[in-house]
Amino acid sequence: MNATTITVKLFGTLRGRMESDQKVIISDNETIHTVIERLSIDPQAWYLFSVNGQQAGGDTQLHDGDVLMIVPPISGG
Amino acid sequence: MMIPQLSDKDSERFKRQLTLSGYTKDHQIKLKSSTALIAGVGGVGGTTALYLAIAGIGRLKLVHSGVLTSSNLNRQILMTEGWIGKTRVDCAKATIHRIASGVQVDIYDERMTMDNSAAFVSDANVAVSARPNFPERCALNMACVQHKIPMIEGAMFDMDAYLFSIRPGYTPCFHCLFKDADSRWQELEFPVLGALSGTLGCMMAIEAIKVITGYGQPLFSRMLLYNLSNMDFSTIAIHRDPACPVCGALQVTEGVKA
Repeated sequence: MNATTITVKLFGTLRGRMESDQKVIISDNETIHTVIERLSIDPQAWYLFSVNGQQAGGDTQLHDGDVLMIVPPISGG
Repeated sequence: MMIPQLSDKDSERFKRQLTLSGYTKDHQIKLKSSTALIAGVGGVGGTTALYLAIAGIGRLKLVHSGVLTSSNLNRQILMTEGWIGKTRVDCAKATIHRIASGVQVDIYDERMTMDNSAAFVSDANVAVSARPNFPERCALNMACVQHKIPMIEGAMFDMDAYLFSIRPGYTPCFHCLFKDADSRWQELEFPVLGALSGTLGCMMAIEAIKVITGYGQPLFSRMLLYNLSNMDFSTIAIHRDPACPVCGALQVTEGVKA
């Protein structure tokens, strides 16, 4: 499989695990779920995902240049 | 029901916003004849309540349990130092009436629950979700879907915040997007800078005004996310979950209150 580069943006309580707008090299067609595991983010917790500004499911395959945002629920009010 | 008119005093007080492009006296009259439920009068919801009041909303229902503490004062702009130990909804009402005496303010020193939320939202035109915990947000969302009341959802953590508006049956509800809460969330422990919760509260007030009056384009089926540490703003398209246990079965046959 070809290596491909995506940009990962972490939000809220996930921020601080790595730099903002971190470039991550993955295998082409890897899914969001496998990237979550690669980043050691709790796969059991609930997140909202977006790819290139569109809400996406965890089984969405990622491609070169994609921007993945991972948004946990937050509740500060 | 009698539709209120703008008095000469109203026209003078609101003349600067009545010159907003596309904003008319009809929008202002809708605002004057509307009720907003504000769940939480802390750093976010208190700011929303204040800006809705000075914009000319007719009635506010403020729901928030507990008394003021010193550590609330870095963000809760309706509170003052001399009120520590007093009930927060009493303080909020006093401040709002000092600034906008014509607004009807009804207060409830309670938490939002699955049992009481429906009664709070049933006569509101819009609900603002600003409680610092998931159970109260879920209870409000459930009640808003049940009564087809539009809801403004906004939350923050540290220097991040997100915001979206819900039109039940048409756009994703809170549960469509967040099936499960963060079990590690600590209601009284999240980091917060008052200026950030203030920005979110202001934007939630603008969303509420848009939803009530029909002015502008609310964040329906869109979520605004921002970080004020690096001033990164983005919007993502969000979608209803047809299998959502809260709103999935909602068959929209009539318009929502707005």
